[in-house]
Amino acid sequence: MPSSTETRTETRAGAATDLRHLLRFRARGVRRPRVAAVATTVLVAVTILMAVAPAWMTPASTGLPADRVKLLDDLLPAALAGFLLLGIGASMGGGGGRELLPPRPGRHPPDRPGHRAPGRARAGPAQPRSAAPVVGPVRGFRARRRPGRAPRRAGRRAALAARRHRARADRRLDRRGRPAHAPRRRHRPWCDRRAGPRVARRAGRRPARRPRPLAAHRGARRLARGAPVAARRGAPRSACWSSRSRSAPYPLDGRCGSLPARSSGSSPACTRPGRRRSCASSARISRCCDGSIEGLYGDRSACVAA
Amino acid sequence: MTPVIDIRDLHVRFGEVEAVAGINLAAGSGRATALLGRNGAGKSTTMKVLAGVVPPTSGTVLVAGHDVAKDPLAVKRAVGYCPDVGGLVPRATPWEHLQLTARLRRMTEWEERGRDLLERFELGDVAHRVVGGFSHGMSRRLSVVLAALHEPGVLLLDEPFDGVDPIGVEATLDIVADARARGACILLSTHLRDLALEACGSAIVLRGGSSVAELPAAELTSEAYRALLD
Repeated sequence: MPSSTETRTETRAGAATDLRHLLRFRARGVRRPRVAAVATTVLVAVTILMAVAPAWMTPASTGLPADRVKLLDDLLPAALAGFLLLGIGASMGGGGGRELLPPRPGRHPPDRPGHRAPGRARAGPAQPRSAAPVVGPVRGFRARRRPGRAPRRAGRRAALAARRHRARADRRLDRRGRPAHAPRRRHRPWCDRRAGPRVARRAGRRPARRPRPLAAHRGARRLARGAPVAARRGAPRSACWSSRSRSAPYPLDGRCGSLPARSSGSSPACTRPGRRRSCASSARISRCCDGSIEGLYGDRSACVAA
Repeated sequence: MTPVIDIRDLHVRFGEVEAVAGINLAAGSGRATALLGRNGAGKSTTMKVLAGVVPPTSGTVLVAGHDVAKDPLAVKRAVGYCPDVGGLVPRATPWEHLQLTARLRRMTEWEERGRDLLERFELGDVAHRVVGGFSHGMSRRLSVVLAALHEPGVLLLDEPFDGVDPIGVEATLDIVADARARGACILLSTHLRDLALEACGSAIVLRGGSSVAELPAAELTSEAYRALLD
């Protein structure tokens, strides 16, 4: 029969395990992990400094008069109490725990989309769309609106045709063998002195942001190194292309815990042909109920008909 | 037979408001009981007490042999609770929710069941999208999935049909039927009499925080239900 001490120990260990899981779960939801890490480091450093520094403050070390040092010593408890109250007020004002409330209606929160979709990322090179999440950040970088670039709404085909047209025009030569017209110079406000940040600030405008070079991007660096960009389920964590890999939404056991693709043919839901969910509830399904391949993403109408 | 859920003279008071005013209820294993009543009748509060979320003001509540007031943690381990609102983290995905639930409940082989539940509730294709962008019905379906993941001995479903499409309703009814077949005790709170009667064998009608009727599902006709509510 376990003693009360054993029970308490087990409870404490269980509580510590639960806390670890909850913290890791919460950490997964941090939108800017690097900023959060820096802020945490600074906070811990300042806390340690504030705790340790007063012990070093002696008249001999600081060169201050003894009454000044004593005054500082006397003020420290009140300052600590003030910061504590400030912290409590800030945490209450900041709405701790509001995440457990339902989202406000009418507000569409930012999706963590393609972006952390391990199931899509692991699908393999045979599916062209599956590459999108793999190169998510790079794609996001390229998708930024820049002057002179065709807007995304015009459609990818239109943008591609325009680019080809420009390339053909650039290849044309004049009678002297020179380019028929100089390649069009891209408008780069971050390179233009007149539109530089200083001028912009003087004029009261917001200075243009220079996008990060492609090569400096983390995903691009890993791609350049030849690191695997997506890991299959069950692959070791090292195979994931970052610590916050899309293939490991919440890696607790050190392995990529992605949701494996459903094999629709063997799914119990697929035993009822003619139902929509039997064929096309997942974008990764490439086979229909009867086993026929319906294309990369499944033709829903074809599946329903089957 | 010892009831899995045993409520005796339950009172819950929030300040001056008495949400539950003396409810007695007993439910055994392998049975599904519906809690019916108007808004503010005390259904959700009773469910919260049974889930160990809200402590009872007075009375005795035993869930799977554990006293809710004395050992709420054991009660939480024994039950699967689908709250009427909230309970989901908007920035996390359904798969992350399943992972957290499984880890907190010390489950090892859960992925297959989690995947199956997601597919049954038509959430397989959004398993890696954040919950914040979900519709109300999708959130409800996910809540039911999370409640049923660990195959609990006591399944508490608070308004599981609220805003859910017919496929989700069908999947929820399947979950209830599976739990009954497994020998679990199910308590289902809803406004929808027809669905409650389809899912449950008996019904309890609450009004003003008190139980006004406890009868088999077949006897709760529409007219009788209306008369009990008025």
